[in-house]
Amino acid sequence: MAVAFFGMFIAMPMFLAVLRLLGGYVIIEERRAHVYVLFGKVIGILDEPGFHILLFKLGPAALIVHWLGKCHVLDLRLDQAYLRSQPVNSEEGAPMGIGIWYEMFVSDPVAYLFRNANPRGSLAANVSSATVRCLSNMKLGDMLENRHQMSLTVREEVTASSQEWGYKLGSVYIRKVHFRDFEMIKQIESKVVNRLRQVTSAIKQDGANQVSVITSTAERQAAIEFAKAAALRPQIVGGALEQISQDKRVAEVLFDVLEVERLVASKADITLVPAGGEFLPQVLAAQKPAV
Amino acid sequence: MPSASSYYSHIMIPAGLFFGFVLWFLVRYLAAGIYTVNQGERAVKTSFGRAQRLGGFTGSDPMAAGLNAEERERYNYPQLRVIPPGGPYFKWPWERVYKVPIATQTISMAYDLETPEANQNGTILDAVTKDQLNTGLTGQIRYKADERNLYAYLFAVRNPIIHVMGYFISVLRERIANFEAPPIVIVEEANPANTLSIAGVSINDLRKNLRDLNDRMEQECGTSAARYGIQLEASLITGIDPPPEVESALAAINTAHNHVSSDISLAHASADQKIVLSKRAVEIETLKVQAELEPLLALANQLQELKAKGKNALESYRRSVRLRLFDNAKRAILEVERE
Repeated sequence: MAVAFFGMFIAMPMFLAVLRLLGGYVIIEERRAHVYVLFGKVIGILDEPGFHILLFKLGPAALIVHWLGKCHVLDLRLDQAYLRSQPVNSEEGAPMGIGIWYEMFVSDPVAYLFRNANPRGSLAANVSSATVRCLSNMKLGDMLENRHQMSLTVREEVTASSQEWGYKLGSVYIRKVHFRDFEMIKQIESKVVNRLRQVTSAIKQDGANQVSVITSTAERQAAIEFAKAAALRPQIVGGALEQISQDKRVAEVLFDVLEVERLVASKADITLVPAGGEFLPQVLAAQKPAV
Repeated sequence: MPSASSYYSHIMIPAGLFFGFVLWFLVRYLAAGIYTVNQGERAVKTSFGRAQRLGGFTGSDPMAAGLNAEERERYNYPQLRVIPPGGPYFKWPWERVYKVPIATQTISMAYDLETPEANQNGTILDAVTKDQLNTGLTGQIRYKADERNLYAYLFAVRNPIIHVMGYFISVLRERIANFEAPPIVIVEEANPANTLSIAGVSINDLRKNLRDLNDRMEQECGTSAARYGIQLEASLITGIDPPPEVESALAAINTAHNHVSSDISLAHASADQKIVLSKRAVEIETLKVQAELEPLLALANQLQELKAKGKNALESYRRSVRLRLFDNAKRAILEVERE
């Protein structure tokens, strides 16, 4: 029983392996392709995942393809590569480096296997070449900012040739744009520092102006209020007197009373003379010095 | 009568083989087929190498809304039957279970999975700002496998996280190179804090609008789930480090800004004091004049009332007041009639 139990762990895989070798069946994993080549000819491509009876797919050749032919197993998954610091020059002559990141996947297994000995390397060389050719002599500003457009340009340039080799280009991204010249980096830093210093001065000047505006505005408002204060007396006093003058008789008596009160309060020497008489002119005339 | 050895070879061996096969079958096809899925995991099962599909495609799922038509076709993956956490579940030997952790993962945004020594050993990510200044970025990205697109994560993309990082860094550097602060609405008084934005110093714009930048990055990378089966949960730029000289100049700006703010506050305080003082002066003057007028008005009112009392009352009062003159008179000249 034990022999049978452990024997099955060896016998069954061996049986299945022999069955596969004889072309009985094949299992295709997701995103894999099996390319069968017999006597130098491609006799079948299986890229649909699942269980396949090879005899139905390849015919009688399935029985010998594993003995006399070859099965290439290809990975069809999305892959990527990053080409660092491809040297380009801007229109202004600035030496720039561009990092290109691109995705690719095998779209035509046969072309991928037989049309190019090194499709991946060739694709990288094409992307690099297209980058240098298409992106050189762009304006520096555009090179730094219009990355989407640059990606599209490189992709359009490379797609056709990559498809010939069975590779399909996925997304292409400009992952990095950088300056290659150290002196240039230092100069840009100085430019930015100078501008920041200008901004510092501008902030100080703007602050001084604001302080001045605040102070002047406050002084103006205060001056208006003080002027109002000075002009209040005539307005209030005049208003009150106008009210009192509504009754003329009362007003006369009021001022007479006030005159008397002030006269009395002043402690001045008072000489009373009769009203309407001739006495005062006569006295004054008598006091005139003799000529 | 058969011998013992004959009995053994005729009965026991076939029976042993039979029970051995049954035991193997039970172990291989039943016990080995039991599995569970942990709480932080999802599972996908393949049968003879083929993943179990639901019938739909991610291209028609709302997650692909951010892709253009060409991308939607390129990143169109089948939707799979996802096995939720729990169990025990059963699988046949020709089936295979792929378990995917769906817990949120964190990675430094400067870390290059293919070349770990790049970006200063994965510590600082270089980027060029809109004013062409080289600056260093530090931060993290948080991501997790998206269970709506496990086909891409498990089968369609060779190394999903490398793709996501490459995509994220490309978008981030483009965003940094194009970043401009949102336009400022100048309300009444010019604010010195806005002077920097007007001057277009993008390193400062970036620092001031870090939240906005992070939000935009999340929006831009919203299609990563449809592309690679990885959902970017957050982009957290924690540091933007310009070269030391620039940093120093930025610090000087900050100092100037604080100084100016202080001066303005003082000027406001002084101005407020002056205005309050002037308003008080008006009040004081008003009260003074009113105080001066009050006796006058009171006397006028009294005289009015007196007049109302009788025809000659007012005149009599006046004469009585005039009498006080005689109290103070030094001299009085009286006319008398001659006899």
